Amino acid sequence: MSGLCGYVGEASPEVLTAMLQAIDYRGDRIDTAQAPGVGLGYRWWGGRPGKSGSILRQGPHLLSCAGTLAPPAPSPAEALLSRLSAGGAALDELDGAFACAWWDGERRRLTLLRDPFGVRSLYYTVHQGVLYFASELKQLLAIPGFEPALDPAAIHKYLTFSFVPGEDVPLRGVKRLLPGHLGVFEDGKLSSTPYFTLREQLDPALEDQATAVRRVRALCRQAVERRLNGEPEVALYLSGGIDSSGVAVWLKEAGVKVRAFSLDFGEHSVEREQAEQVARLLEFPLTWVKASGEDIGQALMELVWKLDLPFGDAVTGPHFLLGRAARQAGYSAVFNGEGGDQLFGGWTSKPMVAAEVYGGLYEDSPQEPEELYLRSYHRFYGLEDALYAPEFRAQVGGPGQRRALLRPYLGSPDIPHFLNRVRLADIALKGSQNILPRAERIANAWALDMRVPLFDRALATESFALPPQLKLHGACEKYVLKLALQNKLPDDIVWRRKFGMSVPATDWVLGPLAPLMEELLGPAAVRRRGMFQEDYVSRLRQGQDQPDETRRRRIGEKLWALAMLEAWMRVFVDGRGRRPGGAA
Amino acid sequence: MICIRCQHDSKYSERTGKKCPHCGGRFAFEPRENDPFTDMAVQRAIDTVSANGQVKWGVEHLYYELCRRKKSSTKGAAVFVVLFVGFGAGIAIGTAAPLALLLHVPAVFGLLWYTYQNVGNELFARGAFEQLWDRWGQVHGKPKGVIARRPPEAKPARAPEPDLGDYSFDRAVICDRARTVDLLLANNFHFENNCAVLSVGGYPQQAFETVRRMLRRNPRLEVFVLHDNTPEGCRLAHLLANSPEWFKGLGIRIVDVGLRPLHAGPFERLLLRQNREVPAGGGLSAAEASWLSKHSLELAVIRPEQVLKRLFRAMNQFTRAVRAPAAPRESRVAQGRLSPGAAAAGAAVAGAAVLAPTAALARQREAEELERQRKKNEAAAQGGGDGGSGASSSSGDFEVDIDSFSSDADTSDGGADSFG
Repeated sequence: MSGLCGYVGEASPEVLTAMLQAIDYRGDRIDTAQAPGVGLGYRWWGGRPGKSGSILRQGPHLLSCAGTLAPPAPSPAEALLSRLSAGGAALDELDGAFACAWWDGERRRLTLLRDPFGVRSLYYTVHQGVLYFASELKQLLAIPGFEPALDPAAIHKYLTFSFVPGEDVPLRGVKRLLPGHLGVFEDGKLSSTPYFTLREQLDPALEDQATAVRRVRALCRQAVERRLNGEPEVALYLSGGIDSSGVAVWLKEAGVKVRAFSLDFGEHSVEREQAEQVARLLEFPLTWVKASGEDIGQALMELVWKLDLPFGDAVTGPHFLLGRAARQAGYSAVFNGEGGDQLFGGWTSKPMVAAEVYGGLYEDSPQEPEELYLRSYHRFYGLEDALYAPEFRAQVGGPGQRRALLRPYLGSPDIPHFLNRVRLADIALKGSQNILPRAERIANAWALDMRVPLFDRALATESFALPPQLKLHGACEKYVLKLALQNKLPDDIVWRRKFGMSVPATDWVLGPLAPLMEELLGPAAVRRRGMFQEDYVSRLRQGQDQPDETRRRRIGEKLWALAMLEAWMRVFVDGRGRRPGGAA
Repeated sequence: MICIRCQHDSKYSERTGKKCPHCGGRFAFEPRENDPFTDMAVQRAIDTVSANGQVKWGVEHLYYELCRRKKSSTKGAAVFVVLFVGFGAGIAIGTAAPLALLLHVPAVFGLLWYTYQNVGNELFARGAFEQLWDRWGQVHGKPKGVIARRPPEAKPARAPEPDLGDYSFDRAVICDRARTVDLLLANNFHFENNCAVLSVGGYPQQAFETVRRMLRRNPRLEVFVLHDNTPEGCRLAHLLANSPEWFKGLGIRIVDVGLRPLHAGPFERLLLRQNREVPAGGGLSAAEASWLSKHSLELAVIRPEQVLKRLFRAMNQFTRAVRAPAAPRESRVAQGRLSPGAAAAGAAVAGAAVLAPTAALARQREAEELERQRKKNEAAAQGGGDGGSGASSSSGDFEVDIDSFSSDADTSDGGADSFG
């Protein structure tokens, strides 16, 4: 709910105006600042607590900060300048949801900084000898003369993960700073280093279950409190699962007024009674938000434009409708329960454990955990021969790129326990490069500030100090979190097993959204794009998946990922990032 | 005969040294020299069992696929001969002594019935199949997707993960034979369904004890038993429920999803016949014991793709039924030691259903489905001997009824992202 941009080099200051104009939905105020060879821009909503009210100008320093710190600081820009100037340990506890650009005029050095888990984004590119950076990709497309060209290697990764992981984005020449990293641009070169790394460091004191539960409970509560910026009332996305119900409990304990918003999928709804039960128990008013395929189809191109990068999970549509409802109800800050699975060992850890136990039994079975992890995303890993057209296939680059992305996590020598390595990969990829950035974009689409308390630095660090068995306890997921909540919520909420998914994407794409799928992925569209094999995509549209695929919902997941990619290419490549005129 | 390499159709007189006159590629078989199949017929059988190369399969699946194809051509030919001779004789008799037709016509119908019931029912001899398989391998190499175990010593050298044994699985499939375990594991069923897969006899050896210990760490484990239609297989659920080494006294749900005599109908021609003493009890009813004393049936008669889909569906429907308190719990799937909750929800019925819709569907529906599949199977098998129309039978046998998936929800994992 704010954004920044800037350049280093010989550029026209008008470019700042164009780049700020590209994100006009991120605020009603703008500020720009220039020094010789450098320009900074900042856009924000006036009157929102916890945000910087302008670009900070202090002696030779210019600093622009989009976002908030946790705990909140009256001026995040001043707080960041003082920590960045001190360096080293001053960044040790830095937390929040922010992106920052600091120009040190004395050393003629630009420093870019992203929050530890990547709620806020920062992209950069060097165009005609000038470094440009911005909160959103579409701002870089506003640079005069910048021509968007697809990067097939990044698309290849998207088709595996359903989001684009790593430093690459699907446009050639554009990179992004990784979460928890500091990028320094000096003498024409940008080098980036992490200031936040998760390492396993088991704390013997936490082997005592009661101590561990107390510690987790206190840290969760603190994480929620640190993300309250003094708003009189906040919104909460409540699914009825353990994570969002937990955040509800801690918001209640913090004494803040809350309205809950839940998705209504009609006959496909799951955990509906649980959401009602939690809201009743905590005395939160609850608003049901209807999410039908038709509603999402109508909003699709706007959603794609606001998402900025391609995100292929069908959950973005319903979240977009939730955001709209929260905004229409007058809220400016919204909490969710994302992060519980990644921090405390959710269901995604279990297939990896199963695969590892049986690893290497057959001559052609996957050998390395990296390969299994890629399969666990259930998009097009291993289906490249079926999906990719030969010309596209030839452009995606050599083998091993995707596995290389995972090696720092799944192969981390700092993490002895298998479960913790899987969690680290989940946090770094699924959390920081998918769940968090997309939640922030969707919230911003409706001028909402997204608060994701479970992705908290102290809590995440603590999760690597807990014995792994307190996370995945036998087959019980997120055990310690459940223990922390068991006296605060009914047993049915805490101990019930996860019951299916909530987004009926397959029913949508084969039903009410079939005409939209035809428009985006029909033979003519597929041929025009030239990346995919027509017959494979057409079989999917007819509801036919691979013979060894047992789950019908994979059809919707795959088709949705392809449709979002095509829509993204229409908006960001064909349409050069301009606001789309209407529905597809 | 059609060459599987270049698709060229050649006559016997054109083939010398079992080679294709067009591309020079070798044929593995020559029906004119008493081989039971053409290369194309075997290739089509392989395509069918492997779902066109996309499902891992075992040699036993190919064996039964070929059995399905072989018998019907013999049967078709025999029926044709009876009809032809009967018709010819009918004309002759009708001309000479029309009244004798009163005897002749019923006799021809009787012979037709006898032929249909008995001719071509013998299974393709295992020894002959093994020779055929070896020859196929020598000429065409190992087919795609056939399950090949890696020798234990060739397992990649990675340090074992110290914490793995501390976790557990949501469910387990226990099989009576190692080959069934192979089918599930090679097709990643364990990974897709967070599911342990073991044979009762201790396979796979390198993971067996670890996995069995892991199972004990989940008091809410759901166990599914997948087996051949044999006395040992049909008793397996009972054995697991009563064995202290397995689940005795743990209050764990055990669901029999294997083949039982009830399910043998559609596979009549693939039954193995024998005579032995099979006492009732230990999970066998008297009727089942009587049937099993004369017959048995291997799970491999069902094509791999269908085993995977049916098993997934059976597990999923059972799980939905027991996890949703309001949903009806049809416990015809439940056998063995029931947890108090499940037992209260409905009486246990031994001899459960299987690889067929479980909790939500009525027995009636199953019978209809089996009948439908039987007809389909027979229709598809017409002319299968030469592989001519055999490929069309890929959708035969136990076809999944997609319509019954009324929504995307499934319980086998937590689904995709929600909002926490």
